[in-house]
Amino acid sequence: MTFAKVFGSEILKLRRSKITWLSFLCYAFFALMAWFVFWMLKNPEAARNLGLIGQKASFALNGLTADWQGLFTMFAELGVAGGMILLSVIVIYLFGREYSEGTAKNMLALPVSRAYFVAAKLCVAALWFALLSAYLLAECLIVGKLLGLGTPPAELAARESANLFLSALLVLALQPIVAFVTVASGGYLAPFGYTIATLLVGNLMIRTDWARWCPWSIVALLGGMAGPRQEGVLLGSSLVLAATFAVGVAATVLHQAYADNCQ
Amino acid sequence: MTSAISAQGLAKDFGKVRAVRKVDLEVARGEIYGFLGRNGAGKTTTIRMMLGLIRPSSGTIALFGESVRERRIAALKKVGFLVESAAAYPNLTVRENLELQRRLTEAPKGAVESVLERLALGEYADRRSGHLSLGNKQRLSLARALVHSPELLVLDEPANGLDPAGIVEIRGLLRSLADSGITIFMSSHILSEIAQLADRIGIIHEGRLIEELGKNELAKRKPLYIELSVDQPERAAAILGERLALREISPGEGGSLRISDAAARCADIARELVTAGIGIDRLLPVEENLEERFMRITGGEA
Repeated sequence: MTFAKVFGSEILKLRRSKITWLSFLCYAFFALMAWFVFWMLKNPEAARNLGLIGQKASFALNGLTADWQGLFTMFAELGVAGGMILLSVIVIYLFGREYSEGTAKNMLALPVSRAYFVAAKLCVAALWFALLSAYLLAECLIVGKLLGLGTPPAELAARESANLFLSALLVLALQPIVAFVTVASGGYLAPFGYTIATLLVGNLMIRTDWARWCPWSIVALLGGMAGPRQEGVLLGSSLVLAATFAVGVAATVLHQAYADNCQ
Repeated sequence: MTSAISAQGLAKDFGKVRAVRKVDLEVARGEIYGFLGRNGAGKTTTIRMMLGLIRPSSGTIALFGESVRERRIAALKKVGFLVESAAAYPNLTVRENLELQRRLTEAPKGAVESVLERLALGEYADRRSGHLSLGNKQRLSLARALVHSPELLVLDEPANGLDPAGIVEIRGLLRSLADSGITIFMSSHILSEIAQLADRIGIIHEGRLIEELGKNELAKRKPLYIELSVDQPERAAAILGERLALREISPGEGGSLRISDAAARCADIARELVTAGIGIDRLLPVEENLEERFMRITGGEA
């Protein structure tokens, strides 16, 4: 049995799955919100006349400017914040559905390496999230055009696109532990609880000097979720994320290989 | 030739609960083995250990000579299975669910159509499995187990959710599979199903395999009592006591007599009563069926 066949079977499992389209719909909603906020930022007078902001209030958003740099920054934040939640939902769905639909026992009793299933599901999640990130980038360019920002400078577009995909990669590094919590608990509730808890921990840690050592804060720092966006990832932080990824993958594979499946 | 299933000293503890205790089991190739036990007796845990879903606390289990623990993939290559409830991906059609199984078991391309036909699932092939009835879901699970033409079928309650016609159909299917040389290991709560199909039956109780019955032992039924309906019951009881020295005669249902004496023979009883001019309406030897035997062995009421 080749890994490609297992990967292909995981893709087939997604056929007619509603969550695939819902995730893209969710990102479309992000774009709509971004367009709306940017429109107000660009046209404060019009927004004031429509009663969207107070007559005397000034509208500022974390120092964002109504240009391509501001727009890319906002989409990067959306990619990290939304991605941390949405990618967890995707991973929880991919692993958790086997338990909620009662198919885990059928999958684990097949004459196929269980590590292949873990790897294939994580690859599907990565591919899914890469497509979502590309979709988000396309939305960013469309919103910019709609707002009349003209053509984005090539260097800026290249740098921000790279940043967006780097953020996606870092968000992905956090997911194997979500997969482990899902298979260990055999359902949806515990991993959702875990995801919320890590978001809280990440947000608390981000206000301390330990933020660059806390995996859930590192991604938030890079996404600019707490103050100015950090450019690039420190080596130590990269190692923390790599270790988080490795521990999560190992725990999930070992659980699938050796733990009792009493579903 | 190695056995299809071979377990030695198989045991499983869940904390302080001893689910399976030192089970030794040999199932020959081509045999239909019925696995009986009450709820919580250890049937499903044994089946899960057989399929590598649960690791034994001690003991070994091998399928076609391959250890499930050490060479799981090789051991499960020739195995089709249905564990407890029928399960399938609800967003996929019946055909897609089977196609998924075909790919993962590396079965040939025509296998899906062939199994759809065999399980009479053709008309549901393009229906999403989430929209199937319980009986058809069970059929789909059986079809999934058969896609790669396994040499061993491990079935946990295969008749679950099937209507009487479906049960008869599945019985025929399992019989034809067994005739073609496939080994079948099945558990069921429907004892009559097991009795009709199995070549050998194992009874598990409180985690122990307490009895194994072969085809010959299944055919030899233990006589329980003789039920007798006559026109003069009191006089008949007196005559049988006096002439045949039968002592264990008690009133049965509807004015009949129940003769539990081991020495009682229908021919002797009929001869003595006819000679005495007593009219016989009914003379019936009652034997223990599998259900009664099962209940007696496992400590339940027959």
